[in-house]
Amino acid sequence: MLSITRLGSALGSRVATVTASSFQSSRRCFSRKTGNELIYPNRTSSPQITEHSVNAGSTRETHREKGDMLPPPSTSVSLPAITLEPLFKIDHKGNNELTEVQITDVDGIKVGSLEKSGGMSTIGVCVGAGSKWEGEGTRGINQAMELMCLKGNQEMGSTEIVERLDSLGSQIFALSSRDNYTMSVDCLRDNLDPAFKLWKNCLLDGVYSDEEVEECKDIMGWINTEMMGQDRLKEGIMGAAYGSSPLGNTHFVGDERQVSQITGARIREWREKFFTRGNMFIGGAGIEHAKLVDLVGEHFKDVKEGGPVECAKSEYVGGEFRLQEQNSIDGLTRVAVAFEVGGWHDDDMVAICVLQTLLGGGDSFSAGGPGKGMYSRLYREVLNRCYWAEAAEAFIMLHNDAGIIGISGASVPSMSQNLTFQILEQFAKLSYQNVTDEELSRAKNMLRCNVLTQLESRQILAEDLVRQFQTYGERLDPAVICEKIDAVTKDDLRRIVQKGMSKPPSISCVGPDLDKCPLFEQIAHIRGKDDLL
Amino acid sequence: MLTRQASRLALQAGRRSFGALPASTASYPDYVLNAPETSVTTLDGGLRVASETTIGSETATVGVFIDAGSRFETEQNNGAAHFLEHMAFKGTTNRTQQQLEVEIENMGGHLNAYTSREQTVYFAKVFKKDVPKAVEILGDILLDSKLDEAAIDRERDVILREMEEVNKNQEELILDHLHETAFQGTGLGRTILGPESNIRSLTRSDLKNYIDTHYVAPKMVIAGAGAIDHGELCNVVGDVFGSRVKGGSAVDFPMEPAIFTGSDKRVRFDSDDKAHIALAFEGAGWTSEYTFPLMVMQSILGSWDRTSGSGRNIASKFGQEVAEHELAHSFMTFNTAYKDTGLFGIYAVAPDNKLEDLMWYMTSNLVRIVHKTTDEEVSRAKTQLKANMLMTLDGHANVAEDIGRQLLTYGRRLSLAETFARIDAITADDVKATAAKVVNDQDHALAAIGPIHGLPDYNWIRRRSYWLRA
Repeated sequence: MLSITRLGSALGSRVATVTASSFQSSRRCFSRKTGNELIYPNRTSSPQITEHSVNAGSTRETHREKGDMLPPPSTSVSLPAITLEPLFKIDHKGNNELTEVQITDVDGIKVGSLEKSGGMSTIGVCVGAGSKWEGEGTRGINQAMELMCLKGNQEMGSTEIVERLDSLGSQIFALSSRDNYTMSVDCLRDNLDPAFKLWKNCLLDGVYSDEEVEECKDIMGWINTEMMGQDRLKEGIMGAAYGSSPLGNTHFVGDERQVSQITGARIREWREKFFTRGNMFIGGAGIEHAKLVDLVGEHFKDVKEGGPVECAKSEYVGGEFRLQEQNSIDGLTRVAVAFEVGGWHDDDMVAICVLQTLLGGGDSFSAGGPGKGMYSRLYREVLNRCYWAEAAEAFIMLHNDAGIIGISGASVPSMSQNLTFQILEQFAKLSYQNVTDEELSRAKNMLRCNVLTQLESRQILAEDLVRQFQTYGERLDPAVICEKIDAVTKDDLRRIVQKGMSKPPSISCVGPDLDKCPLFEQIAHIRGKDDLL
Repeated sequence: MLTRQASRLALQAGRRSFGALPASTASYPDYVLNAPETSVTTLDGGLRVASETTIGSETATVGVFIDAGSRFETEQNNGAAHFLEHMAFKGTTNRTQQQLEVEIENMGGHLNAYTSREQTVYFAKVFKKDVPKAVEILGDILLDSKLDEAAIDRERDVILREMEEVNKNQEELILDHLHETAFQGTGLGRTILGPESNIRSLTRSDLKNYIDTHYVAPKMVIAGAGAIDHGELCNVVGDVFGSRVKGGSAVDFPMEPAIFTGSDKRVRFDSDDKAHIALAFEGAGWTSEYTFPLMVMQSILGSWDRTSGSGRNIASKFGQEVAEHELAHSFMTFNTAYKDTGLFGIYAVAPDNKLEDLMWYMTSNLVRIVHKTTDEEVSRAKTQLKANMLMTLDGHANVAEDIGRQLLTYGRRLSLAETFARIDAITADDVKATAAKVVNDQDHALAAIGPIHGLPDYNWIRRRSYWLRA
């Protein structure tokens, strides 16, 4: 369920942020002392600062004659200023209400929606295609499709698509992951018809010319170069956990040899294979169900029959990933340790999410008031007690087949061994001692509130709807999810950790001076197990 | 001459067409006309309570929006607002810090605050049943803050550490420099965190004075959205805040006017790999007639990032040019409004070898709006603006923030119909007129950090704020 994934996001959400019409800045600082490291951290040289002020009007006289300038239009606008008096009176009849989800089968494609008052609609699709199906010759295709989601088709080129989208007041977002590919369109209700058609064109009709594919490869290169340590850590741990199984594939592909094999033809082939009637689910929020069914019926007529594509099951193996990055931006070494748990289909899925909330954590320096998890276990027992821990955070990476729960941390290289031990100790404690009632109740409340707060958003409602359907074949009402959260017990959590720890861990380290990080064998030795790489 | 006459006619025609608007609201779609109403109640003493209810929701956001910020501080107490924000979470006469934190966390709620130059906001996101508790807690931390001397001393280092973290973020830092130079010598030029010397020297009485001066009824709005019952909210607010907040009328609190000075500030570090540049002109205040046209201008110029995958295919002309000539890694057009002034400009992150070209295209696109804005561009920008506005009103926290902000800046919440009417009424001539006022032959303010050896000087850029021929 997407709404819970966001708490332990694997690849990070990339729902595009909308440019706010006014730029609010808050919590800033600046001191007039120059050459002060406090103002310009992470720099060794002093800045050269120059300041220059002009008196308004003085430059006018010096650089040209009056009258040379192109006459501007008038500087008065036809709009009145905003005063306390409204421009006109209207009768407000609206009330905000949410309806039930309705589902219809449109010739093999399942379509679901819920209505929500408001001026916008969001429609999304979730396709059973992802990087776990990638192999030799197709590595990086999903990432490429995501980046090229607005590229041209037979009818119109990319520029025209973007212009049309802008003129309709719509936005299209695409997100690919290991398990699935989602693409959604957000538009003004008046413009549903043209926006839907445009979205369908982008989803299914892209031509992917050679030039566009080359541009995309450049971007994939940049993304790979600029990837943050934390993301590399997460990519690495999937590889460590699943080895050569499909889930072990990295999602972001930067290796030149692999990227060079991506061609427009291969992408179109991939789409033929995966984007079929039985392999996609279309959903909407803030839209009338009958309308959505009509739109799908009209525009998705030529989509071929087909169903989910087979993929070898991923088995957890455990292992190690080490990436020495001598020039990391903040000089910190990052370590993550994870153990096996169930995936999205596991009975314990909700309990796993509660466990992650209970462990919580974050950065040692973090903004935010009460409610961010400052009484979660990792804050209380690691960040508050160990001054050298720059970050300690619990994460979950759940997929259809399997899942892992882990704790990631960051510290200066010399303390990375201590950091790893602290993480292991946290896991060990969970396996031999039940959590307290207070901790459990707090975690449940936080999780419920987070889930419900996120579902306030129409965009998230739509995305959650399609993901749940693609994964489960149904969508659980938030009330049902809350009940499941309430039903989690202390024994559940302990059992989950014990089971996970009976298998080898997955370790990932990224940063400078990795020789200070303990080796897999050393960790196995501490665990008292015969874990083998 | 001809243009002036034509636009005077347009002005009259514009005013006339505005007066005729009510009849044409019939042409608005249902969702605009039926948008829920914001209920507003003014309690005795001037405190305002406003809310928008969503039926069937299980959660709500309620916040206190105060008309106070770093702008209203003096040299001596610059940083007080932000310091207070920290101290607010350190305990009250009724709750210790730990009790406060545990209470919120156990409820599963979130309590947070932010301070900007003109506003201070404290808000809470909670379950439906906890709304009265949230209001009580907000009242407690705002009006009964312990302000323990020892805690104040301990907090100094925390704030200095925060300063360090914030300064690692180039975007934040450069906007600080921009404000410092553009509004030099006035309140808006001050930073929100304040100078190091103040952070080390602010005392309990400074903070207490700040509360007594600014946390007063006419300057406060309690806004809620989601699972809120307006009547109940008014009752709770009345009980919690009612008599404990000093009354008065808004005119008791005069404001130092803002003065924009054309200027620039350059911080050169040749060893950095990217240059950060922010170019701005004096914009317009919240309630100005130029406010909405400036938003349309912002939409026309747009934003872009090279990793976004859209490449050259962005509707903004500036975006296309930047992508084609690879002038920058990313850019963003910003439009910040304050009560009586604003900043309109572009912030770009670029490599060091094409800065002159970047500035050429940047200024050229800014001035182009004065002369060559097309109807088609404006129409597209207007639709985008409406869509953006609706998109950001997604979720109770955003709605509550919108309600609070509008009540503080506009004095009322504009109905969706009025907002759309104002946006729809904008013509290409209005946008040209706005650009003529804001950009054409105007002094600019510039802040730049990084390897800026190739950045042209002030006069070079100033010369390009107008055209001699189209």
